Amino acid sequence: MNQDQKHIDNQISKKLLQAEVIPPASVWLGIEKALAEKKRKAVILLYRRLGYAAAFLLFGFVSYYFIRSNSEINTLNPKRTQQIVGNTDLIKIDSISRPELLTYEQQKENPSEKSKSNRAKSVHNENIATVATNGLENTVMPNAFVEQTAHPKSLEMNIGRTITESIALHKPLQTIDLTSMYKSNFNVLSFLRAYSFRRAYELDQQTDLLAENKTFANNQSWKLGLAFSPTNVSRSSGFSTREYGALYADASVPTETIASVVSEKDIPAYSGGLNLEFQISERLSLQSGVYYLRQGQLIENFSVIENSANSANSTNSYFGNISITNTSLLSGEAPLSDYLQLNDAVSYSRFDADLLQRFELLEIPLIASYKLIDRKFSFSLAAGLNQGVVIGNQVYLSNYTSQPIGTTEDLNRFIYKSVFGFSFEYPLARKLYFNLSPTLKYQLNNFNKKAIEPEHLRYYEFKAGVSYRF
Amino acid sequence: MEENYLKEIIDGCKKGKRKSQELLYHQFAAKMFAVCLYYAGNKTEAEDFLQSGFIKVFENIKQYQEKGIFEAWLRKIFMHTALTKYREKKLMLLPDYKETEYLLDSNQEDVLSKISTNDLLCLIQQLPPAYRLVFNLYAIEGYSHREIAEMLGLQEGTSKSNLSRARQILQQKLAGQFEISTKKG
Repeated sequence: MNQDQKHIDNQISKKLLQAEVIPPASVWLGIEKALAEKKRKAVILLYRRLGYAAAFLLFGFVSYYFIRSNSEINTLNPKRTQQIVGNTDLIKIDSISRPELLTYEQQKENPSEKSKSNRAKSVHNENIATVATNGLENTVMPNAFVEQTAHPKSLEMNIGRTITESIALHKPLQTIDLTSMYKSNFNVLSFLRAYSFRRAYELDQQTDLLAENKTFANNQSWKLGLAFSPTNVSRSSGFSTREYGALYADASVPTETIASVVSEKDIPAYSGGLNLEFQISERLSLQSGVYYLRQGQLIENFSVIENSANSANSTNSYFGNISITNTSLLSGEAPLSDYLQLNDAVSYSRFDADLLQRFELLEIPLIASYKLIDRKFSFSLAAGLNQGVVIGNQVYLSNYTSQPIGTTEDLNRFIYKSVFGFSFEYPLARKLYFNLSPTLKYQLNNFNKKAIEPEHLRYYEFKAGVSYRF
Repeated sequence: MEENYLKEIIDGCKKGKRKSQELLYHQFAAKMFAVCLYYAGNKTEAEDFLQSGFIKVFENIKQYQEKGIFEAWLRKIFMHTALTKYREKKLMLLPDYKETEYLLDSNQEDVLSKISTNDLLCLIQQLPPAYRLVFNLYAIEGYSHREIAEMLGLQEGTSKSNLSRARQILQQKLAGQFEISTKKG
């Protein structure tokens, strides 16, 4: 290579390094779209992973719960059990027959209790409670507190507690189904041993039961509830002419015309459904359920672009392009207020009527709740995720909602939201609770697949409901 | 561009702000499009490179340590974007041409000073992809034949011959455009 060649190379290089060529505007639009798509996919991937992790954790907790329950029955410490139970022999039940609760010692003492067949009745005789059963020998439970529940074939029993303790706790350790209790000797013995062992553990921990309210069985319980909530939907940004422009650009609708049609109002939304709660520990619980959510908006004095070339009628909205399929309603129910023939094929019409754009979703939340105040009136913090499936997508003329006029196009099937909130709980009856939960739901993905900018809707809910513990 | 302003834009891009990304794009799009044009075979391909390059920039901008010149870092990303695209298309397998020297007389130097940037870009675009890549990497980016051979997975000799062939074609095209004589050695 000679110097001349280098010189020429340098000249070319200099020229090209200083070169500037303005690219077409479509490149930036393409970049914007690709970035939005990547972000959307990343968010979906993240929440899918979180969903899997949450499902895995839930499965783990439930498995742990059952494994622990089993191991508590099977892992007995005979020495410690003996120490707690004392030398009292557990009487074996030899015959098996249909169990029926006949009498309690307290019932003998106070016959008037018999009439209250549906009310809970208690028996406590110093350290020994006796349950008499029809056709069976007596079963002696040392240091036990036995309570009959409203259900005629079940007992609730605390071992090693006084009546005062148990009443204060309002939470007996276990409900015993007499039918299963008398099925075999093993059940009875295991049951008593297991509870003795639990009591031993409690004593080992030097736990003040009244003060700390530490029970085992009642920490892990389920609650099934119903809830309803009025919902306020809020947007981070208003609907701009840019989105309209995207639809109307080809039709060459004047900008001032586009700007004049921007008028959308959110309509009140509501949600309601079934709630299932699993209490993992004394303060921590997981909540899920199925909720129905209805939301939407009103598009005032809507306009329609009609393209006779492909027989398409459409308008645009914050949630995306609306395809108007039932055009007969346009002429029948919506008086025309403005008309513009834009070219041979395309015309612009504005109507003196409003469109009601409505969406219906089924939502499945997965929420972790932590009890900050654990009293009669409890207060919890809740956070989690919510996956919604769009099950309804209709657009109506607001004065004619019996028949849809069209649908919103390119909707995402799944809508993901993060959930933050508080929860107040008040017991109405022994196992029935009233719940009040102000909640914020933050939408993570867009309603519309083709939306360029992320639009995070916010949902302010004020959920009220009742739940039943079992 | 003011350094602080650029830093502000870069910081915004690092946080994923769309407005900052748009500003950065508009600031460098023209320069980077020129880079894409001399790596691409046509305008459409260059637009594709530009789009992919900027997406790569926004995805990897956190790796920019603010030690070197930002434009040089950008240029490198666009260069690698083009190389990746070519690798994907498997355009590297070319016959090994015998090196041919070419000489330029004073008229051709005049030609280079007279030719517009757009015309020069067009001439470079007309080179076969492998020649164009080697020519750009050697003559514009300043890489050695060994580095080019490593980057493109070629023999060093192939890189040299591709450069030589690229120069020869360019010379012919320049000569054809301005009807000047060339001498081959």
